[in-house]
Amino acid sequence: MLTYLLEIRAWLQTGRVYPFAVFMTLVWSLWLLRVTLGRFYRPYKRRFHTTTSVVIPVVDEPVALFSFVLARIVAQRPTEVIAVINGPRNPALEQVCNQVGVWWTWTPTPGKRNAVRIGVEAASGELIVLVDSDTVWTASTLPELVKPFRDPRVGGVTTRQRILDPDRSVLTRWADWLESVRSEYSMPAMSVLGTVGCLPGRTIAFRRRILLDCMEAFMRERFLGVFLEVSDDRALTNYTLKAGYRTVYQSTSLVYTDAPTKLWKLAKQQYRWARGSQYNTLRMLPWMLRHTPVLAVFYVSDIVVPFVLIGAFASWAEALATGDKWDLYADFPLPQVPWQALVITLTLALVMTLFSLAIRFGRHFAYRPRDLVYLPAFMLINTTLLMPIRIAGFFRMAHNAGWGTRSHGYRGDARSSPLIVAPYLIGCTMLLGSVTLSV
Amino acid sequence: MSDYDDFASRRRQTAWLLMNMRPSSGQRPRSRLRLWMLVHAVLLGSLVYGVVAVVTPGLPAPPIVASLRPEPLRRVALTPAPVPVPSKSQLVHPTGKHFGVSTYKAPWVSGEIDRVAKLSGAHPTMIEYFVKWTEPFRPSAVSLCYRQDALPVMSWEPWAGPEHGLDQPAYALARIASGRYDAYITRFAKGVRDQRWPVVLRFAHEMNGFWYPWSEQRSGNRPGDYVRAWRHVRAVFDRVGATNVIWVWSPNIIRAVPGVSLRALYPGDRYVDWVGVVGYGVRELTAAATFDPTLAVLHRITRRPVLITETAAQPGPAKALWAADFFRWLKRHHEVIGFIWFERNRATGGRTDWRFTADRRTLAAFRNGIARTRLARQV
Repeated sequence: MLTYLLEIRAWLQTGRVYPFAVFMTLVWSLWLLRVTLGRFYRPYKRRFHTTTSVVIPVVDEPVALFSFVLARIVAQRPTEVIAVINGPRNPALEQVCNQVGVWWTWTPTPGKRNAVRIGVEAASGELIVLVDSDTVWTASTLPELVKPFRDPRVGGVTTRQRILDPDRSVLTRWADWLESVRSEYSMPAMSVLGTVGCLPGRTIAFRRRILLDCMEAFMRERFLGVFLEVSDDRALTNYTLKAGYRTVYQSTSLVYTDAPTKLWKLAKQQYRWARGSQYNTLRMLPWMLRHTPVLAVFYVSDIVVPFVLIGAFASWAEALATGDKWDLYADFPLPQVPWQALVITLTLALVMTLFSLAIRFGRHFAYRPRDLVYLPAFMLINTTLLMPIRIAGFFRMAHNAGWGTRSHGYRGDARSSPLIVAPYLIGCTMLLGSVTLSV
Repeated sequence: MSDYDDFASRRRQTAWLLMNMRPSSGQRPRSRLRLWMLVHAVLLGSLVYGVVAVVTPGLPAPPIVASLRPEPLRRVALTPAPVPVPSKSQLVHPTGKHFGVSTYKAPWVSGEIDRVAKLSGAHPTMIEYFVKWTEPFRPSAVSLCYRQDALPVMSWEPWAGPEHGLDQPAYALARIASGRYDAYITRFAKGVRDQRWPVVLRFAHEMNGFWYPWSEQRSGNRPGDYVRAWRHVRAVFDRVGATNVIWVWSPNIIRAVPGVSLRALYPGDRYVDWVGVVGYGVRELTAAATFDPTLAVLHRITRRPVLITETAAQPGPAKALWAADFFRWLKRHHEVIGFIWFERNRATGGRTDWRFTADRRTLAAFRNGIARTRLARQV
């Protein structure tokens, strides 16, 4: 924040543009846009009655958790519950379904998309609620979730998501913070416009009609010469938007889900999301630009921000290597002793950064102030883990791949296409552009 | 996720769920958020204002903040024994030759000057940099030069920069002379005065060329306008009391513009302390061939000390020869008090690779020449 201030000042005085200042300006203006839009957000209030089919694709969930998940769903009396067990047969899960009284079916074809298709075809309710097999519902998840469908223009609704028992470790805290920030800032902002770009798949409700219409494309459609199995939720959201429906967020419908507690699993999960999300951003870009430019701004900046940050790092590395260190802090009074100057600069910078993040993520930290202690760890994870993963995900988006977290999961498509180079070309251009503009 | 099979862990999860799953966790007290945002916004706001106030002299600020503002050259003055500010008269007649450089980012960064010092074997005694008329006077530039033991040579260019073309009637010399820019010039002069340290000011250089808007052949300027503009700017400085300025009138060598009269462009000894000359070795084999015709003309106009304010040699087989000859020439010419090497290439603001470090032979010739030159005392 201190650096940002001094860079802005230098920008105004000398016209020299600093990449970090660009990055911060971008981040803050997006924040402002989200907060402004989010102020208009209101959850739907009036009750709505309809028929609901809950579809749960499941591979190898631990029995105890799965039965708990099912029990909480059944307790809210949806019209029907359909568990689609895919991959090798799993007598334990079948038994859980029988005990709880949930209709189940089995398919040997691994893959979530295929399981979703089977569930959708078997369902009979007006609304289909897709639920992940590790997602725990709260007491009024379902009645809240169906409320927005009173509006016939609404085609898809998502829930507020939090992480189960986030105090377990730094990683779960981080995941919870991420979810919380998403549900407090970007979700309400996009929902106000009726265009939530990705209804997260832990629990989403769609009109059955929409899902039936898009099932064919959902199972086949390629982009950049590749059929991507992952990111099924984003794909379904895209079809709903393209069909002319609104997609909204219902903040009063709350679900809990688990987060990886191992760094490696977390990295794999984030990599999968990074690929799927950026793949779908490129894919939807022409449509978004025509119909929902604000959404395009959000998603394109999601892609661009890590690249700008790389540029900022490059310029700092250059400054370190060439010893160009004075210009920025030259007008700032610091003690003559170098270590004192360093300590003062760092402390001031840290304190200012702390306050500015406390503001930018206020809707999370105000209610979980103890998470502020973990903020340095969060930032470390963001820059050293998440950012490289997002960039790698961008480059490799057109590669074939299956799920990372399920051992019996979908293995991916064997073919690849020459279009695989497209993301590499775009990515290299952005990387080079960012670095050469900065250094 | 296999943690869940562990009985204890499952019990913990269940207990947590029962405790935390309220149906309306979405509705949390807004007042708490408002208070949180207010407190942090006030804290951050005051810090931001503090930082801005410290680096911006004009802003109203509480005494504790104002006391933190850097006095002119406080950091220099804080080094073990306070360094007295030299006076202009101590600097106008140096006892040795000045070795100056103009690099890409100096004086703003220290690395470039350190590198020049290391490669040439001598520490530069002058740093030349450029300031457009769209920019304010920045005392930190001066203090950074002195911190690097060099005299600041500020080329002050009355234009908005090259991107606005060669004709910039907004900065026509007659407009300057008529006082249109007095507010800016006065502010600038007060800045120079207040920081007390001497500044070498090269205003509107290469005026005899046709390649800058302040040429009398550009921007609607007419003969006589240049001298009038110069005298006016000087008068504003004198009125303000900015006496710590060494005024350098700096034409280009006459090679490219033999028909332009230097005498008609000279403001007069009353207004000028040094005569600057810009000249590069292009096709010449000797420095004499580059400079002597111009020095002969200047000699008939004024006897003020001469500073070569920009020089360097074109890449090629003759570059090292020219550089070696330059130092012999410099030694012969007692009226020349020093030179500023234009240490830049295409990427850093030069028309070609002018740097003495561009090839090994030139570097050797340069080192050798510097080693044989008696340099002016460092400031």
